Amino acid sequence: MSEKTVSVLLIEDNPGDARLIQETLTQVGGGRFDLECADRLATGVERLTREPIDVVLLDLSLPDSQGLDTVRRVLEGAPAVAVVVLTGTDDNVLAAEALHVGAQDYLVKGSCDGDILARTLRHAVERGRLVRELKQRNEELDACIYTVSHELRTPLHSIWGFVRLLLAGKVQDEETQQEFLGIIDCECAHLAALVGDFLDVSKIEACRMEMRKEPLSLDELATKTVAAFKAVADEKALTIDTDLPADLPPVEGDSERLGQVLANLVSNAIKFSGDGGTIMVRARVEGPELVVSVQDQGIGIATEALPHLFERFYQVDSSGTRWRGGTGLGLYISRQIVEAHGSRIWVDSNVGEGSTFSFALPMHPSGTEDIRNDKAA
Amino acid sequence: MREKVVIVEDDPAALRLVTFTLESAGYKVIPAVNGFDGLRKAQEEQPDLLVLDLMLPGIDGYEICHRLRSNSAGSGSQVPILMLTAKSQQSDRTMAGQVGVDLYLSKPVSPEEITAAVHSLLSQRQEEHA
Repeated sequence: MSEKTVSVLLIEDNPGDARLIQETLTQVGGGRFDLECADRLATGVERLTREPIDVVLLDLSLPDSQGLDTVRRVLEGAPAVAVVVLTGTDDNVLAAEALHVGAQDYLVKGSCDGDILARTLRHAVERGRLVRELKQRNEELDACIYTVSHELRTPLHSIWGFVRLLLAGKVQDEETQQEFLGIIDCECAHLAALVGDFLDVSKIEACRMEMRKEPLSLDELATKTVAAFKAVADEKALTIDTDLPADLPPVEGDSERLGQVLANLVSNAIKFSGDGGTIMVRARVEGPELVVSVQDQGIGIATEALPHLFERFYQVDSSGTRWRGGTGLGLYISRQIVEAHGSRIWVDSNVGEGSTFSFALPMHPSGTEDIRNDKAA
Repeated sequence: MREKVVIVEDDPAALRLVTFTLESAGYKVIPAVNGFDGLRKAQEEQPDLLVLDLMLPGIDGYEICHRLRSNSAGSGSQVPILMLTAKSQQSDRTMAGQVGVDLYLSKPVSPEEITAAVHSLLSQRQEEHA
């Protein structure tokens, strides 16, 4: 990682200092520093706006700028660049202030050798990258918190409203009371699902969702999932069929998380199917992988929605179906789980003709062995 | 004659809630479950008031307001609009004001507040017309 060429822009008006730094970096850098020079701040800033530079090595006393203003003006021109101050003033207070306005480091001319200079430049680039990444994550988190609060408000609004009506005795008719209690029950379940999904997403994004790597039988996993959804499918007179070859080799992965993916796909297939259709759960060996697919004969997905299906909080327009209550996170979570297994998930769909969601899984090493032996035999 | 309210809301539970609440308060309610349906009913039914969600399938609440308000020859162009939405950012409120929303309420809103808001918007309108 540290062997990558680092582009350095030296802003220094003293030709002697500039030459010395150039020679030093050539000696220690072994060609891994790509150095350009500017003798005025204005020229340097202009250069920065043209093409990205990794790190600026900046003198603080320039003909057209003095002191900390020099750092500020570089960062105004190129907010993403790492800045290392290299100046003649050995002053701890000034050094602290330079870091405060955004410099990554502060070096004093004559007091650092080539190796330290090279290392400082590399570290400044890496620190700058990490700071940018953190800032971006923070912005994403803010946006995420807003979306989460928005998603939670909707079921909360209904629960609170119906409870108020019931408490105030506004609902006289017993049948309507039961209907409202039923809605409250559904909205509570929806809230619980949202909270569960949000937790999964937060684990995924903090990279804390650990995947176990264990040999597992997809046959078993699929059979279990299908059985769990039988009651829900029966309500819509849907049949769930499986096509699982008897000699399926074991795959490697986390059975709980992969079960979650499969359950999500089957549950979606049920939601988007009309009454009386068939849902097929298949598994087959394709090259070094095992491909699992869930096919429905439901409403299908519009072409323009396909690229967004696996995005966070994306929900297809479900008006005109009886379904509601998705969190917009199921497929996003599924994709993260499958990708954490080093694999991929995809969809084929046509409006009115149903959808097929598939994911591939690496086979367990012993399973691959078995197949090779079978073929050789 | 009972005052007529068109409610545009894609969440079935929220739609049932506001329908029941306003019907209990004596209004005639016409529900719409998406943006296009809502715009059509707001134009054709000549309601006395519109209760509008912001995020809707089809066209959103802003667009409905904009189309109603900018169509000066249209029947519903001056109808009072109550926006009832889970969105709570200041930018959403500001935008709502710009497209001609009369009152903006952020969910959760209690049934009492909804009834009071509808009542107040309708009496304001009556005073203006008196």
